[in-house]
Amino acid sequence: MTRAIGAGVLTVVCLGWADGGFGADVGRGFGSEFSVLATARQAGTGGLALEDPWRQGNFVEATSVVLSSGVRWLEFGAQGGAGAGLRIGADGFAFTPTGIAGTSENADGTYAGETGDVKASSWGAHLVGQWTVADGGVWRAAVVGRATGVVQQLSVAQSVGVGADAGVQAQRATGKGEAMTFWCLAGPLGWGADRLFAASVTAGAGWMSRFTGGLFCASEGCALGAEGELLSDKLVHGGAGAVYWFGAPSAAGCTLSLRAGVREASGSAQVTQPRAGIGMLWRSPRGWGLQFDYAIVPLGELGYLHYATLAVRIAPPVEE
Amino acid sequence: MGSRGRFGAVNIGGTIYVMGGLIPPTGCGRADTQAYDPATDTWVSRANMKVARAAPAAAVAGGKIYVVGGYDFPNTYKSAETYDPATDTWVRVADMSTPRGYPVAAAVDGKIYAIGGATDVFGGGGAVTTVEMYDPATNTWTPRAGTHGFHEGSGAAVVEGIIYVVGGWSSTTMEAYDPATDTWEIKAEIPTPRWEMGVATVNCLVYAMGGSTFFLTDTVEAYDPATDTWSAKAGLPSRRVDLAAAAIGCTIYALGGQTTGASGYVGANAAGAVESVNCACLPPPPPPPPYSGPLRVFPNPFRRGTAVRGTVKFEGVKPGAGVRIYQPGGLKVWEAVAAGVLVEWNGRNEAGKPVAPGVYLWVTEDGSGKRQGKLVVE
Repeated sequence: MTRAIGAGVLTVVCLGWADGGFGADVGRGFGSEFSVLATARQAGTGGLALEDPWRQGNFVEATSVVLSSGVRWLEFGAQGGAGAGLRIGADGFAFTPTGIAGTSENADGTYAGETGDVKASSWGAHLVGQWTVADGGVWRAAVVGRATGVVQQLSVAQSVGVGADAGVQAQRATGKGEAMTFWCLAGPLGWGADRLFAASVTAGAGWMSRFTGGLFCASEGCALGAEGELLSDKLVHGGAGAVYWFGAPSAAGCTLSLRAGVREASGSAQVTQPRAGIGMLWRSPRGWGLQFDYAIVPLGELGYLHYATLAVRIAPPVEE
Repeated sequence: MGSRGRFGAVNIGGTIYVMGGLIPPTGCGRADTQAYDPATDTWVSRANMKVARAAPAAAVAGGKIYVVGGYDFPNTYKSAETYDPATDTWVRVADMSTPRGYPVAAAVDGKIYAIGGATDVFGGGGAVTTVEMYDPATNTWTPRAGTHGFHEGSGAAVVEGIIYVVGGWSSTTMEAYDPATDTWEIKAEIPTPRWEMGVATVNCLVYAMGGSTFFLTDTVEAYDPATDTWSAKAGLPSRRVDLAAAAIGCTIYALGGQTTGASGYVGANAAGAVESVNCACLPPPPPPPPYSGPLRVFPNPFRRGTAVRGTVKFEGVKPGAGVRIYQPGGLKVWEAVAAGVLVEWNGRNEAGKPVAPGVYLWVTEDGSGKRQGKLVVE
């Protein structure tokens, strides 16, 4: 959930795409590894952007680095947004795993030997637009559209995916909390370039993913949130988290934060992932600022997933 | 064993028995029997057959020797008799329906099959394609399906219940008879057509040696029923025709025969080992011992369409250990418990859907502990 109105759309759609399993289940050309494309702020709260001190106004935010100590991989992402009633955003990622030992087999299925490291990588971009069609102060409604392009350069084959999703979002926001629901009709396409024109194009139009969640703001520096996500294949993902700021994040100056959360996935991919994070925000009275966040996610036997995000704000001055 | 040609020879329990043959330069047959013990390299005389026979055929069933047909001027015989080594006695059994000179015989499942031959060696009676089966339990002969070609002066051998009949006078035909279906099937022709040869079986191969190709030959050729192919083998020490052959262990004994025109027959002459393995049909090779080395995951990258059995193999897994496949974000895709040291993943998630191309993480255990790595699915 829930970056609500504004840049949150990016997060919501991104999570929807990734965790929704479209890549794995529909678009054969899509991978799912960019599901980790999330900021450390989200990661530390179970995937929820419980607080977004920059939610007001325009901003630019980059770079997120994901590192798993267990398997070592890096991912980079960037996202940004602009506008009020009409907001657009973009993010991108690159995924370059290393240390993949290539092997081959004999014709009888026995081991034939090593073939050297396998090279594989993924990169892609999301373009997101949100148009607030109704703004009643407390209630808002928006339509959301997104286009995605993903390329996976594998050792031999190349998979290419493009997608176009559309959704609607309704939100109720008060001083003490927010509630939001988001419905997405996803239509990804994908194909393997090595099988181009070989009837391997897949389409997933009609897949529905639903997000519903709530956010309770105990104070300006404390928020609790939870969300549920119903995926197209009947799987349910959920998350819950909390953040505590040692100060007022909307004020100029330096503020520290602590985060904790959990993500839960059902079905064959059942997993419970607790996570925790810390953050440091420095805001200039002139409106620009820096934020560094770190989160750690234990992946059980896979080791730990480390998120680090350095965000740069280029935005109007903070309103005093 | 002394000179002997156009005779029968069989192996019972490691002892070679030879019986009958032609008395040159007459057309008369002989009735004497000899037994050869390879362990002592000695021949001993045994009881004479009831009928003197040149060019008979012999086979073994139920521990007894059955000799059929042959000739003794001016007769061509349809008679048959059996020899019991335990009692050193010959006993006549029921006659065949057809006289057969230069026939071949083979035994399968306790039944004796008399194949081909000439109905009247001295009267110009032609070769026949008929086949008869003798059942010792009922002492009766029963007609069976005839051969495709004429087989007179041919050779016969049995491999895995199938009778192979090779060559014969002016014949290159190789035929295989399946007693279970009572059918004959044409097989690959012998490269060197020959007749009155020696035939023996070693290691599921049918060896045809010596004989006449209009000229005496010392060549040896082996037929592999598994591939329906012939191959050349080491030749006999000497050219000979009208010989017989028997195999004991890995040694084929080429016995007697005529080496120089019609002047006489040579004695036994072991051809020596032509194979270094036991002559019994080899059992399938034992499976290799379970792999006990470090974990091996292959093939990587994995392409479902080209991988053998469409699977990724995890070999060397600790039995009882789990093999788990994860998306890079930590979501588990698939899991299995190793029943042995080999686990195979078909590239599908636990819902049975093919996973998307990409990089996946695997975790399992081998003998040295926990192992993990990356796998590319294309």
